[in-house]
Amino acid sequence: MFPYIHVFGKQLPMYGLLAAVGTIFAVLYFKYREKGAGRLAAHLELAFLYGLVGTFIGAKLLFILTQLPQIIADFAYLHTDTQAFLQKYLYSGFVFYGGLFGGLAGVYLYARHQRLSYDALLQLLLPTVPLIHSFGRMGCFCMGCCYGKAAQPATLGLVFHASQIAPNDIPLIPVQLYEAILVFILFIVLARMAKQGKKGKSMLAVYLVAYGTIRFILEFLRGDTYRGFIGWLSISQLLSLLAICLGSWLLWKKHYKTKQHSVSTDS
Amino acid sequence: MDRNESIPGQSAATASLVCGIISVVLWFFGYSSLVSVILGIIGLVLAGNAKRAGNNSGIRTAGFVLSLIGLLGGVLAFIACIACVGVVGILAGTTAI
Repeated sequence: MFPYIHVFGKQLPMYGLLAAVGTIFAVLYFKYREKGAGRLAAHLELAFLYGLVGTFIGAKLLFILTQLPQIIADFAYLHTDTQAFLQKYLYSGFVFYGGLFGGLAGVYLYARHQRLSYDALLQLLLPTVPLIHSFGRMGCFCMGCCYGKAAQPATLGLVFHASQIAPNDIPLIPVQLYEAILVFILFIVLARMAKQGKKGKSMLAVYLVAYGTIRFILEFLRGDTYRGFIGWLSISQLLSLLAICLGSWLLWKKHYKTKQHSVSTDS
Repeated sequence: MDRNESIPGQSAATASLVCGIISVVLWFFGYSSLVSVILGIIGLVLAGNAKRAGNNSGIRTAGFVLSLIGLLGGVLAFIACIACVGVVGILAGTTAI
């Protein structure tokens, strides 16, 4: 739709700009929550930074893993056409689930290093994930990437006219906007849970189950085929199933612990 | 005693502010935006360390904000810069991948 914006004669990509705006809102959110965080308040900025770095590393690593056969086949171009090789494999290509688990690992490492409660850090920082993600998806819509299938009926679709990625002049399902809205609702739910004092791991469980389900369903509406498939399921759908299983296991564990605790206090 | 050392974390806060200012300035010089990203991260770490030491002065806050803006802007400018080069490469027919 609007892949670039011109500011003071410089051309800026909307995807990066919206992701940056999302990150600024995420910082404002945890700054707002910081006031009641006690001892953890002094650590939130660094924990968030660890999470950000973990997100980049995780998203890139999973992309490389999914593209490994192609990277091996193209490896000769690293010497003959370095710029094109780096353009394809280093500067572009990030996988969301890699970023999610990388970010969680980054915050976990920080908590371990500083001997802090991972659960308490999660409670304060987890809502920032869907918040940044929501803005990122709007950026996808502006760029035309992660586009949907051809809309049936056509009136439900949106048409790209000058996209470098999405097919132009065909009404497409605006799946990026659907995801942006649903993920933003998930942010509101998680922020409310955090305000009510729910535990970080419970919030993580809800997030994994909810986002896994949203993503699994929305993948059926997507029309881009470069994501990679195993059988009739995309790699993102398989990872969504994994996220749903992990979230369900966390919920079951919490339920089992609560039940055991109530039994022990009754007796 | 050094005046900076009398306030806990003041040296880190000042260094964070310096990193933040330089990282923002370096946006505007093409590939130097990569240095913005590195300085932005260093500035954020220093601001975080200053806060952990108990410093919550205006200098630290300014260092944190400028480093964050420097980092995000640097990423943005670098991606834009790389994208431009990529497009030029494709137009010139040099892209084989």
